[in-house]
Amino acid sequence: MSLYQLQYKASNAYASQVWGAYLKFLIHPYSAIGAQINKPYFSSNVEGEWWISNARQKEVSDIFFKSNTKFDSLEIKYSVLVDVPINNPFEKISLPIELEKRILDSNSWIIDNYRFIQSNPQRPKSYVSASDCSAFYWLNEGNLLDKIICLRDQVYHYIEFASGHTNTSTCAAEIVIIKKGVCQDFTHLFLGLLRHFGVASRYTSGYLHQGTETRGASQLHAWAECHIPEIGWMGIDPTNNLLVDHHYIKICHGYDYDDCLPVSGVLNSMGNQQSTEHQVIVQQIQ
Amino acid sequence: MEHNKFFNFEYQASSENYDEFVSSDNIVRAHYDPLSAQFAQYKTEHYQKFNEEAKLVFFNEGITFAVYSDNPLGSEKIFPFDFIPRIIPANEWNSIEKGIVQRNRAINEFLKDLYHGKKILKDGIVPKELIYSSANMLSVMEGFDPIGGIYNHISGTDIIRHSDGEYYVLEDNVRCPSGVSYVLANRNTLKKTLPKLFSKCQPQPIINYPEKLLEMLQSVSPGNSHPNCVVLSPGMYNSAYFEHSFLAQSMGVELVEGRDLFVKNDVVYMKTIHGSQRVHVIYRRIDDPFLDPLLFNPDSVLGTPGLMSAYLAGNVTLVNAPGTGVADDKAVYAYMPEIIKYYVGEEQILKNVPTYRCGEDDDLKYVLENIEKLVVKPVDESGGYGISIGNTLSKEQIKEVQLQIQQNRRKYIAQPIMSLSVHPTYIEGEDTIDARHIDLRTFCLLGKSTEYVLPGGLTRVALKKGNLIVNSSQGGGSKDTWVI
Repeated sequence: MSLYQLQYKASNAYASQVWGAYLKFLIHPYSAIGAQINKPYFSSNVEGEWWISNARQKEVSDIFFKSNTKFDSLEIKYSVLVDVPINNPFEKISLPIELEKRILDSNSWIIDNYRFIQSNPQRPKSYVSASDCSAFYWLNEGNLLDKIICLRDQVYHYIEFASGHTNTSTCAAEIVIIKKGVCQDFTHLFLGLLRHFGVASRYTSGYLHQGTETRGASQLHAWAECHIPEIGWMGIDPTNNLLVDHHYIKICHGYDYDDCLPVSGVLNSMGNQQSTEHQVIVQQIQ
Repeated sequence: MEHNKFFNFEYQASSENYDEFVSSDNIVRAHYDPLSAQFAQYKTEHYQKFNEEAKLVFFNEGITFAVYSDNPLGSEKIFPFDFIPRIIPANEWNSIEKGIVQRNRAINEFLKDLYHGKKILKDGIVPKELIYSSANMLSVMEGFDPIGGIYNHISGTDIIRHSDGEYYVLEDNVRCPSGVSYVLANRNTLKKTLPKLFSKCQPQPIINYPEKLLEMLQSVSPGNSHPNCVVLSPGMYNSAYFEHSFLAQSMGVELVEGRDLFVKNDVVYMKTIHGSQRVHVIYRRIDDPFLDPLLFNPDSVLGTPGLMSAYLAGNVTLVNAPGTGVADDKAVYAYMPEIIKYYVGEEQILKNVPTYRCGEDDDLKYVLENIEKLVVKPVDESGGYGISIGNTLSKEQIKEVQLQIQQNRRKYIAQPIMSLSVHPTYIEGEDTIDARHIDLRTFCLLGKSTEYVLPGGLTRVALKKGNLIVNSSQGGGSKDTWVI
């Protein structure tokens, strides 16, 4: 097991006074990977109540914060200890190619995974058209994991990791043109391509241990999970060209970034948010 | 066209449509005899008086409806009421009632399956593309078990009688079907207007609907013997606000808006002057996208933040369950005979109108070539909005509809133009009685171990001559419906 202390800090300033807030934070670790989660602690400069809810999906915990106080800036701090089991992705073995293909082609597999296989132009953040895919190829031979890894390599080399060129609204089709971006852009393009080639895949957000030379560790990180027969949902990180291991601490998954917003909610206010800053610290304790 | 002396008027019995009142050989149908005899004693001034009295009752009781078809801001109107009741013989009603229960039980099983194993899709009975392309299929409901296994607690099944004399289901409404308050208001008004006739005919009672509704709501409460039930309304600007307040008042429960509720620790509370009170069951009259800004439409101020978390934690029941709209999509309607057979193992009791799905190539070709013989409907609209009736369209309008369909094939279905039955109706202004098209919205309640169908339902009447759209939002009116 690897023991980490995770810290998430966010600071928000508002143009006008806020007189009440109901916020949801998606920053608590995912519980279904055998991780032991201890001592969650949430604090804020604004008086209010907070609680953890895992009603939406039993493995995903939403942290709610409710305040009836007046404020013009909000700072929240969250920390938690998480003990993650050692996960060696190279130990995972695919089924024989023929059997795997039979499963992937079966009606049952497609229906059970339809939500994450379907390319959906109504969700453009992770949608690419056939012409957007022309710069990429899909291996005809090999098992599904090999094909996915080959595609991951292509995405990794296609995009230059650079912040400031994209934002949370940037769509996969734009990334094809800009060829620059951060982890969520790598992931959105990768997902668009995977779904175009018929792979059940989902957007995953989480923490990344910064002890190694990895990109995207100072913010919440994003990667993809692909559903592979026999193996299950396997994490693939196109930003760092890695398979996901125990250095990745998942929070939640969804179709794209919009399902994994770290903070969302309702503020009673006359004005807009003026500035926002997030910081993530992942510290390995054992 | 035959002319007969009924109601002391020259009543023109329809030769093209099924007339509920007289048979094709111009004889009053047996179940209308008492009504015919009673009305024969009245003269024009009586009818004027009945009409004025009925209007006065509606006005005094605030029985109104907002219409948005003419004015985007909506205009509040007295709900038009025709005092000549529609009568359904008990033996016919028994069969309709069985058909409604069969259909809505099957819809409930269908919803349970769609949000769990999806067997019906895997068995190829309903195409997966049809379900997954529906905006009403909510991923958040996947794997969730509502209390009692009930999704469509309240269903409104729209039924028509075609010229062949058979009843057909026109559409299913399992989101927030409205109209039941008008059934109760109509009965109340008619009792005051025509007490003698009412007493002579003794129609099956409907007065206990609010009690049955409350009983059903309580049956799906999350573990409390004295659950606190509320009606959640979008507010006074909603077209059915009268109904929301009427139902809350008749059940003796609170009428709330989203801002009157709050969620703490996945539990819903209502703000009251005595402090916060826990809420167990919410009869919500707000559509799914507006329920909770944290999960659905973030701009909505109609719902309550955190409501869906409380629901998914099993601490509150929403009636109807979110995500039921996937089953009343008009494209899914076409598969209802198969859906009933699949889950109930029986042939459908109430027939379906043949339906062409524009998403399918062969159907699309037929629809585009035969629009003048068809009614084209958007699959995800209600209230009669967006409907095009082929034989009323000009050549330019047909071209427009063809274009609309081709631009978004999945959005449209088409059905043959069904000939809705007609019923004698008092025509205000002309002071006469004439045949007008009617349909019937029935109301079915499914509780944890209870089911109830309101005897009769809401007979809606198209007040314009020849008009086939009976929806109140399109200017239609209603009648009291008697099962005798």
